[in-house]
Amino acid sequence: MFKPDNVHETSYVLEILESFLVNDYLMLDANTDERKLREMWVANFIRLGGFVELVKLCDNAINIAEDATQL
Amino acid sequence: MSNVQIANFVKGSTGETCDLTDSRIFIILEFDSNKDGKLTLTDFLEFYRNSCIDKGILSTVRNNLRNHGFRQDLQMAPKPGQDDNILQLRPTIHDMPRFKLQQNQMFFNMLFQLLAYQSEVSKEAQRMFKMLNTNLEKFWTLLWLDQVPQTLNI
Repeated sequence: MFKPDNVHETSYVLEILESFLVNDYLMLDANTDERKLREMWVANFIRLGGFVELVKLCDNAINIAEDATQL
Repeated sequence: MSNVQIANFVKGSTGETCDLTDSRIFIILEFDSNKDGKLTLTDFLEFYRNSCIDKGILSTVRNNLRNHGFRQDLQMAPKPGQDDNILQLRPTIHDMPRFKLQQNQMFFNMLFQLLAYQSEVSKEAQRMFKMLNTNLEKFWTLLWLDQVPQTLNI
């Protein structure tokens, strides 16, 4: 899902991801397909280790930034 | 056209005030063929023809026509609120350029490459990204979290 070798593409993917996460799906009617899909998506994202991947990505970014400051 | 109507015409054409002693009224009245102090339609058209061809002030005539609400192709420009006040007929979102570009993965890949260039190019690429709809491939990959059902053809 994430491509740490391409920082711009990764950044783009993160923006889409952010839009999925910050959308206030609680405003949607409980019986709508969209509400069900969004609730299922967050659960799936956690189950499949999406947040773990995000943490790894942050680690990579920090390492790259530290390397850059040492140069 | 009487001199009052000519004054109104000058006012509408230029956006400037024009009283009955304004020299422009007398210049236009030079085209009064029967010298009755009024312009006929033929006189008025002759005034326009003369301005475009003989006097060579086509750009001024164009500006005046624009002030009267005419476009470059001499059609009336649509006014706000009118049905045809749109640039092009676009019946659905599928006809919008940002939707068409969104479907072209090669275009997205090129934009990603441009992001790595110097700051000006990168800024323009970012602006372009903001105008486009979300990239379909990325969107569906994220939505299905790499678990696209085999039955779906996306």
